[in-house]
Order: sequence, then structure tokens, then C-alpha cells
Amino acid sequence: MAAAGGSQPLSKTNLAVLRYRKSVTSLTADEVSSLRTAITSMLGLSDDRGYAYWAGIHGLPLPISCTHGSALFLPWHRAYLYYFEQYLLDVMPAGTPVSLPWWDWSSQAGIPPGYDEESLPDGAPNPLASAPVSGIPDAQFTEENVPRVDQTFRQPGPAGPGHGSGGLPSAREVSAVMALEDFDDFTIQLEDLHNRVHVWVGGTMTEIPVAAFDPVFWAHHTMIDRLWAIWQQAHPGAGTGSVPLDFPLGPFPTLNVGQTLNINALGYQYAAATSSAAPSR
Amino acid sequence: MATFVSNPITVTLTAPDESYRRADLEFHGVDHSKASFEGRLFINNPGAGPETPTDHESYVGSFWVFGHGGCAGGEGHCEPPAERRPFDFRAEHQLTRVSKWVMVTEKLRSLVGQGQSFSVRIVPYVRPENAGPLPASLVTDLLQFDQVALLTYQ
Repeated sequence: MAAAGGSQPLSKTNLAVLRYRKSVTSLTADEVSSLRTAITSMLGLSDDRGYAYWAGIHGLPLPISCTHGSALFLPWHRAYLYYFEQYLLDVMPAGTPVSLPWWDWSSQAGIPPGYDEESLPDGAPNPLASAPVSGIPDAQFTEENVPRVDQTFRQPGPAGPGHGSGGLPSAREVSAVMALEDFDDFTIQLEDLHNRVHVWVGGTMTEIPVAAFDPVFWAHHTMIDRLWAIWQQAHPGAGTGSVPLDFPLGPFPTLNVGQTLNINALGYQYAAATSSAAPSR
Repeated sequence: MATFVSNPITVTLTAPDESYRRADLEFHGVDHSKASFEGRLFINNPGAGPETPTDHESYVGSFWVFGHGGCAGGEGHCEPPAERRPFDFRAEHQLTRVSKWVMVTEKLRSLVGQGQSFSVRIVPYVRPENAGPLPASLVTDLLQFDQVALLTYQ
């Protein structure tokens, strides 16, 4: 298929530099450190390269741009993660292995390691635990909508198996969704699991206007994106149901629905494990 | 089409006469303008409420709504147009109502005989920790939808 943006054809050369998005539980200490550095750097930018700007695209400040409850849910959020990851890369020195990790909540272990400690060993706040909610005009916090918050917070539900619908989705529930054959069926059910995780995390993650300010939002959505990618591998050519492939994904001017279908063309891959070596000379 | 506005809501449906390999309870025109919530489904338990445990034999599954969290704009900002004008190529309004469906195949088989009528009680549930900080308007009359249907596949 055509490459995303149309300017960088998928080739043997750039396939070799795909970013591997890893599980949060597989990140090395250096990779966690790089991710924290990148998030911290984005938090320090108050312009349209910054964390608040990108978190705000999902919800407040107006306009709320995210799409839910339609076949655009998966393509739109894939484009959103793609753009956010590009800005993460921008703030790091070239060649730094930083990418969005995924939180496999189906392990039901709760908030993932690295994201739950309020502070780091040196006493600094953990930028993966909480982030400021900024850039939203006071007038957009009305009496009838979500209360103003200055900092993200969580109120997670019970961790571990045996909590029924009050707990995180189980691996069995994920498998049932992954077994669906039709895209419209799959996306509706996957979005429902996604909604359930937002409700489980609680606090800022619970409501659309401010959810994306919580740093765990990105790990949660990378998991959703990964599940779609795995489903796509098992259902080649499945497309996106009734949505035209040339449907634009605002506010991401260089991507339409069709351009989100191939994650390799977007420069990344999900891998359960990787092992590589250069030949000895 | 009538809009149900209540908390919770009970509807009556009829199971098919034939056998089926899959059964879905479908909800159309689901409102998502307020707080996030879980819609818990109970069959033949018209008294079910937020305190009814989900390991009760009548519980058949849930759907989850990721809520819009109220309106941050001015008057009319969060009211979807009644119909779309020709040549309106903008994205759908954020609060266009959505559809949900929950697969209830095995539970329906075990609880309802072929051809029998049965009730579905839909109980909206907001985790108390999540509801606490929200204005009452976001957790009142939370459950609103246009239609519910049982779809079975052979």
C-alpha cells in the first residue's frame, strides 16, 4: 500500500529502522528513563509540540477531536498515537530508542510498573504517574461538565482476577473479541473493553475531556492499537468496515483512514520479542 | 422513535423459536453526553439495581460508555443536529448517539427457553469514586437510548 504521507515509500531500507513498541513490562531501565525524559521534555513545551497541546486534542480545550462509537475509533486513535510519538521522538537526541509502550491490562495486575510510583528514587515527580492539566480556558469548565482539575489523578478499581465487571478485562475476554471476524463487530467490542479500562483507572481517565492528560492514557491506547494490529494480521484485507479509506482524520493533515491500515508504513511494529545481530566480520 | 429516559430501564423481548449459535443484545441511540458508566444487563430480574452483584445468575453482561463529561461550550453546542444537511461533509457531531451490543449467547440459552418472552433490566452503574466529584447533572438520567433488540444468528 502507499506509504503514510505519501513521501516515504516502504522499502527494505526503512523496514530495518522500524520502531518496536514494547510492553511496559519489557522496557529496560534505560528505555523507561528515555520515555520519562521525553515526556518531561514535552511537558516543558507550551507550544504545539508540547504535551498539553497533544493531550488537549483528544478533549479540552475545544474542539474535542477524538472519535468514539464509530468505525473511525481505531484509525483516529492510531493516527493520534502516531503524531504524539513523532513529537516524543522530536524532543530526544536522534537515535534514542524511544517509542510508546503498551500496557497489557488483561494481565489484570493493575496500573503498570513505572507508571504508579509518585516519585522517582531521586525524589523528582514521576512524569508517567501524573501530569498537569493545562491549556484549557476557564470558560470551558462550566458548572455542568467535569470539574476543573490541575493535575491528573487516578482512582483505580480492584486489581487481580475475580472482580467480574468491576475488574480489568481478562485475557479470556480479549480472546473472545480477537476471535470476531467482522471489523464492525470487532471495533465495537474492542472499544467497549477500552471504555471499561478508562472507567477502571478512574479519576482523570474516566471522562473524555481530560483523559488524555493522564500519561497512562498513551500506554492504554497503544495496547488497543496493538490488539487491532494483531487482529489485522489474522484478517488481512479486513479494512475498516463502512468507512471510506480516503476519509481524512482531522486534525492530522497527512493521514487518512487508509494510511493507518499498515503500521509498518507508519514506521513501527509490535513484537512479542526481538533478537537481532550483525554478522561478525 | 421514543427515547427511554430512566434509571434503570426494563424492556421485554422474545427469544427466537429456532436454535441459534450467537445472540446479541443490541442498544441503539445510546446517549454518551454525561458521565462514563457501565450498563449492567440482567435477564428476568426486574428488581435488579446498582447493588445487585454481577455474579448473580440473572447477570448476562455489560457495556461501557466513555462519557463526554457534559458540555464545555455555549448553549446548543452539544446538541447534535436533528438531521444532516445535504453537502455537509463535516465529521459527525461529537454527541451523535452510538450503538452497543453485548454477546449473551450462553446466558440467554440457560435462562430463557425458545420462544419465551423475557425481561432485560439495564442498570447504569457509576463507580462511586468516579461519581463523587461530578455535578449531579452528569450522573442523573444517565441511561438513555432509542431502541433495544435481540439479534440471533444461526
